[in-house]
This record gives sequence, C-alpha cells and structure tokens, in this order.
Amino acid sequence: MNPTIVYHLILAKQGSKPKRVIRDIGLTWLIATAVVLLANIGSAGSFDNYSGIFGVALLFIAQLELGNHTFDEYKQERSATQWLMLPASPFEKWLSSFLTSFLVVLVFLLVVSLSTLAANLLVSLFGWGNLVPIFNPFGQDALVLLKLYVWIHPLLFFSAIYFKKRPIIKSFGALSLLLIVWLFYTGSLVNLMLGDQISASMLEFPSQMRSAEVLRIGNFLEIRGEDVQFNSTRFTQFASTILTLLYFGFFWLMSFLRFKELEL
Amino acid sequence: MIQLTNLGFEYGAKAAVFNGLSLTIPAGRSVGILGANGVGKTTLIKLLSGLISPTEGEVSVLEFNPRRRETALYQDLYLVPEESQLPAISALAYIKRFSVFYPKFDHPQCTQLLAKFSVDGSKKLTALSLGQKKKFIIAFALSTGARVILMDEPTNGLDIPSKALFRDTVIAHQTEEQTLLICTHQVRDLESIIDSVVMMNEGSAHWFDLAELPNRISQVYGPVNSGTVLHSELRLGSPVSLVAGGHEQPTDIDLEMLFNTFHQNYPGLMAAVAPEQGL
Repeated sequence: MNPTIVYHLILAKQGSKPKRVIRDIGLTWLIATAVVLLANIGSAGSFDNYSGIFGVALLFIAQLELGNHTFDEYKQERSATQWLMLPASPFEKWLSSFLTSFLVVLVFLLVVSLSTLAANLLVSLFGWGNLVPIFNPFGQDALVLLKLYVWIHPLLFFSAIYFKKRPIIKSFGALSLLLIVWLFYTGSLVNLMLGDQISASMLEFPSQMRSAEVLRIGNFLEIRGEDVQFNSTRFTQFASTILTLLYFGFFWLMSFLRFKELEL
Repeated sequence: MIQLTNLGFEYGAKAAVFNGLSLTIPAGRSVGILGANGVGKTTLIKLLSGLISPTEGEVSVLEFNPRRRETALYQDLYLVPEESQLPAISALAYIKRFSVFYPKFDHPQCTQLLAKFSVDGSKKLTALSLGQKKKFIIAFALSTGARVILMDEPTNGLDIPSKALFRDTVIAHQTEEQTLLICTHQVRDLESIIDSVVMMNEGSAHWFDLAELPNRISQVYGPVNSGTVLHSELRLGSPVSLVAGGHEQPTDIDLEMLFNTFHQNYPGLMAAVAPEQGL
C-alpha cells in the first residue's frame, strides 16, 4: 500500500468535481445558518443545544454524501473504466474512498461552526434576540456528532458500493427488513434461553408489580414496577464489544470485497 | 506480450460470447482487432483490461492477470474507451491530477500532441466535442508511456482530417516496445498503421502478421489461372480473388478482402495460412 497514491487518488476524486464540493459546502452552510437562526428565534434567544439539530443535519449530509457520492465514479461504465484502470491497487482505491468519506464529517463540523458565526452576525445586524453560542468543532458536541457519524458510517458506506442506484432508499429498506428479522430472531432466542426462567419468575408476581418488587432475569436485567435496568456485567461488556467489532468489521470488509469484485 | 488461453466468456448462462479462444500477440506490434458486430471485440478489450473476468480460460497481459488489477500492470496498460465520461475540469487540470499515476508520463509530448490535435488545454473537458474528447484521451494515452495501449473504436467521432492526423500521430509516437491494439469496424482507418490483425468470428480468433501473409496467400486481380481460390468478389466489374499460396511478387492484401474471406471461408483460409495448426 502506497500512501502517496492514496493521497493522489483523494486529490483526483475531489479535484474532478470541484463545483459539486463547493456547492455542497455552500448549501450545508446556508441551511445550517438558517436552522440555527430559526432555532434561536423559536427558543426566544435561549437556544444552546446543538447536538439535536446538527445531529439531524449530519444524518442528512451523511446519507447524501456517503450514500450518493462515495463511489459514484465507479457506478457508471463510462467513468468507471477510467477509475478502475488507474494505476493503484484495489485496496488503495477503496481506502481513498474510505478516508474521503471521513473528510465529510470534518468539513461538516467546520461548516456548522461557521454557520453559528454567520447566524450571530445576522442576529447582531438585525437585532433578532440574544447571540447563539459559537459551535466548537473540537468540543463535546462535535464529539457526539462524530460518534453518531462513525456509527452510521459502516452501513451507509457499504450500501454506497453495494447498491448502484438509489442507495439511500435501498439501504433503509434493507435495514428495516434486517431489524424486523433480528427482532423476531432475538425474541425467539430469549424465549428459548430464558423462557422457563421468565415464566418461573413471573409466577411470583400473580398481580401487578409493586414499586418495591424486582424481577431479575439472569444477572443483567432487572424489571421493577417503575423501570427496567440493564446491569453491565463482564459478559454483556464482552458481548457488546464483539457485536460492535462484528458490525464495523462486517460492513467495512464487505464494502472492500464488493469493491474488489466490481465489474463492468 | 498478450496471451489468451482457451478463453471463454458468457453473459448469463445461455449468452456465450466466445469459447475456447486462444491467441498470442507478440510485443511491439500495432494490431487491429476486426470482427462483425456482436462477436465480442469490446468484450475482449474488457477482458484484456481486467474490467471483467473470463468465465473460463486465462488472460495474460505483460505476464500479469489483468483481473487482479495490479498497479504495475495499469502503469503499463491504458485503455482508450469508445465513450468516456470525463470530469468537468480543464484538460490541463486533468493532466495534472491524473498524470501522477503514470511514472513514465511524458509532459512535453502531451503538450505537443494537444497542440497538434488543436485541443484547447484551458477548456473544460465536458465542453469539448466528441472528437476533441477523443483526441484528448488519445494524446493522454500516448503520453503515459504504457507498453500496451488498447483503443476501442478510436476513430469514431473524428472527422476526416482528424482521422489522418490520428494515423500520423500513432505512427510517429509508437515506440518499439509499445503494443497497440485497435478495435474498430472501420477497416480503412487502420490500414496504414497496423502491422498485424486479429480477426474474430463466432467462436474463433486468429492473429495474422500482415508482413508474413503474402507468403501464404495472394490477392489476384482478374481471372485466376492457378491455385485454390479462397474468396472472390467483384470490384468495379472485375473479379478480385484471394488465392492460397505465395506469389513471386507479393501483393498488398486488402484487409476488407481478408476479413470477408475469414468470415465466409474460415477453414480454407486457416488451411492456407496456418497449415501447421491442422485447420
């Protein structure tokens, strides 16, 4: 793997569509500024929570950029011929798209930060209430957004290469189907593994639970009259780590394999 | 060197393009690939480029399996496609962005070729006409220094003066170690630049060395008195025939005539040109 080639691939891809990059950044900046202004006016000048509105904006941008543009040069035969035959290994080409897809979120954080500056400028000029806090692209809110992006990345990145047309609709359709299957599967698995235990425990509560009573399932789930508590144990920590690794590994690896198998 | 061994390709289970295709093309040649519509010329180009995988057999280009898409192969293999979608940037910006991938890229030659083809380097590639785009890609391809250049219908979209310019440029810039494979329907566009030809029909392909061919077959104008006639047709009312066997004074063999013979009398032609293959 040659990092210089990866760098040149990123430059070639971004340099091939300079107008689109500028247009997308400009649109994001405008929309984010408008959203900040509306949120500030709507909350009578006491707006300070960026995670929510920028989270939605980030999801939208992620779908647009990751889903539609990540591998778009490989999706049409006329342009794919040129890109597939560039002197770089399949891994270098895949990696350049992978890295570029993370540049999107960094640019997004900088752009929304600028949008809060622009919103403040407009608030000051037109006297639309209190100034909004400046969004720190390296602060806690930015970290929350970054985490959100990292979590949705494997799925959208894979769908971008797997589906040639309308990747966003198809990925959400496939995800919904997967979730339904997973819910049924988990339900039947829980019934199979813990069904007897749950039934036995339930017999202790012939009527509605009182607030002080606790129904324990295994040593990681407690159902009370008022709430449900999930206790973290070494097993659940291990299981969640494995599931997380499988989630990231599976979709990233599958995206590479799919890219490697791409034919015209 | 390009080698195809027992190559087969099919689109879906019942749509075989070709089967058992075996062919060897030596390095440093200008080769025309001729065949009727649908015999798989573009498919062959795609297989040589590694854009698709054969359903059976093997492809070897410069000792590489093209489907592995290795960097070293693509530094030495360039494809000029029949149609391409170029980015909305200027020709000069394109050269700057994409030439870095080719270690042997010759910038002065590229500039010289663009000037020769009258391609405005500052103009956006998307604003160029089909012919201009084609000329740009040909100039870029010749400047990459690739040892194998594949061209799929390179003269499509070129006007008559540009076709002549294309031929002159290819002749002037092809190096000794460079192999050109030109796939086309327009036989006349190629005659002056190729030194060998691959002819394809349903199920078979053969490489003919045009310099060697007059020792095996002859083109005869008028009535044929001796030898086996492989193919004959009327031109301006006079018969022209392709006859098995050499001639004391070898004549140039018309590519169109050879092509028609290949299609209409494949066994006879092969028996005349490659008797050692037992055909």
